[in-house]
Amino acid sequence: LDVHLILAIVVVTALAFDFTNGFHDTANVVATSISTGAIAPRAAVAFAAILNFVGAFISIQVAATIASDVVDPSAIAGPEALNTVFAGLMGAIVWNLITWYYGLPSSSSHALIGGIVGAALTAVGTGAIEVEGLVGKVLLPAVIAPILAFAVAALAITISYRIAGRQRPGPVARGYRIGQVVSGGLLALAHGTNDAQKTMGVITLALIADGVLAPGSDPPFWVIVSAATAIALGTYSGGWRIIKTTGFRIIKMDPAQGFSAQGAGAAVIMVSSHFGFPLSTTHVINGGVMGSGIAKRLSAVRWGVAGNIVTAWLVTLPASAAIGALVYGLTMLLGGGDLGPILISVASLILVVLFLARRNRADAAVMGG
Amino acid sequence: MNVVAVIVDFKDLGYTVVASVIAATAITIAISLAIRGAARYAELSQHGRSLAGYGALALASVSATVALALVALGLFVMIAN
Repeated sequence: LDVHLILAIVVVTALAFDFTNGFHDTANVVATSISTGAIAPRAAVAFAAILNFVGAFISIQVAATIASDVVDPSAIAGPEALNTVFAGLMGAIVWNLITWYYGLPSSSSHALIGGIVGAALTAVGTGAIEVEGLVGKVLLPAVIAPILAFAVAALAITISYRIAGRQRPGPVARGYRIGQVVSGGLLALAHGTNDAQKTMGVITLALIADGVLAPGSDPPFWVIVSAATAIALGTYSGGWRIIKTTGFRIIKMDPAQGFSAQGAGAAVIMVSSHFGFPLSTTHVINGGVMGSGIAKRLSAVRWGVAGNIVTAWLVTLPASAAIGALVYGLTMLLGGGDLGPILISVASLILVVLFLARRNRADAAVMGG
Repeated sequence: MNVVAVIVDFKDLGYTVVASVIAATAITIAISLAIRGAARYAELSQHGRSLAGYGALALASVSATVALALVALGLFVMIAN
């Protein structure tokens, strides 16, 4: 009975992470459309939420990677496995909230993977880590994807200016704003596809570790629907603080640049999802934003802000891993059963309520000012 | 080097790079041509209808259709996986 209570807590925590992922990553999806005036802020957020939901049903390759290619489910099997997964999720959620609070668009995905790896290392040791999957499907794509998005966006904006740059600015800007609705929609779809699957993967990992599912199983339909719903609700809740950083402070964009950044991001995330790479959508879209800016002129990018973001990226994996390890240690100190996860969940819930209250005040200030 | 090759599936990474470049470039070209055609048509139609204007409209229509077809193809490939 204890095991199933912990399983329920893990599922709810995973969905809570999915929700925080949604509101943390809203900026990735809508910031460029909003900053160029292609779509009104509230409409952009609603549009992104709907497409996030739909995108979650497109593929399950990334879920399979998270469920079996990062941590070996059989190595962490048993009641403590669920404590491990719970601790990993808490590592990700806490890091997400910290970076969100300070307005840094760090990676929710890397926070999740870092949290799970940190907790598994503490619980079992290096034997629990799937080095091949972690390096080949997570770490290397994590480095390549933003650079690829940067290059693709630079190529796309060069092509855009070459083809349409000599026409009258008014109709061209209107055209690219319409193009941005398409590219922004694809980006939201891609975000739902890649990010909702990470939660599906974690819940599937917990179900396998608990013996509910056989190793290698696909996520059940209820897991797909609940993950899709949680990320869509999180996205709808928005994240004004991060929108401000990504959309306005990295680079001032014209509609063609916004279109190029979003199109490059959507292409990279979609193709990566097809091959089961759990990318950081944050890294990819920020790579695209910088690529579309640098093609115009080097000084267009505000490198100080970009540097802060890169720093947040670099510390995400070790920081979330450390928090995951800490939470796992705490659950063990509290007996290793269901007491630890229950107490930590209640404490976290109180923390989230306090954070959301502060966010609402910050949102009101941004909207008002 | 062999150890690295065993750990990392370079084939899938290579496909990802190539497919991302091709997909983004193709859609950018199609949408940019559609915008160019539409902008040109708007400009030419101010001076009365002309063959060049209809040509620009045709370019915009065909390019927009190609762009939508490319998006549909991409989604189909994703769903069929």
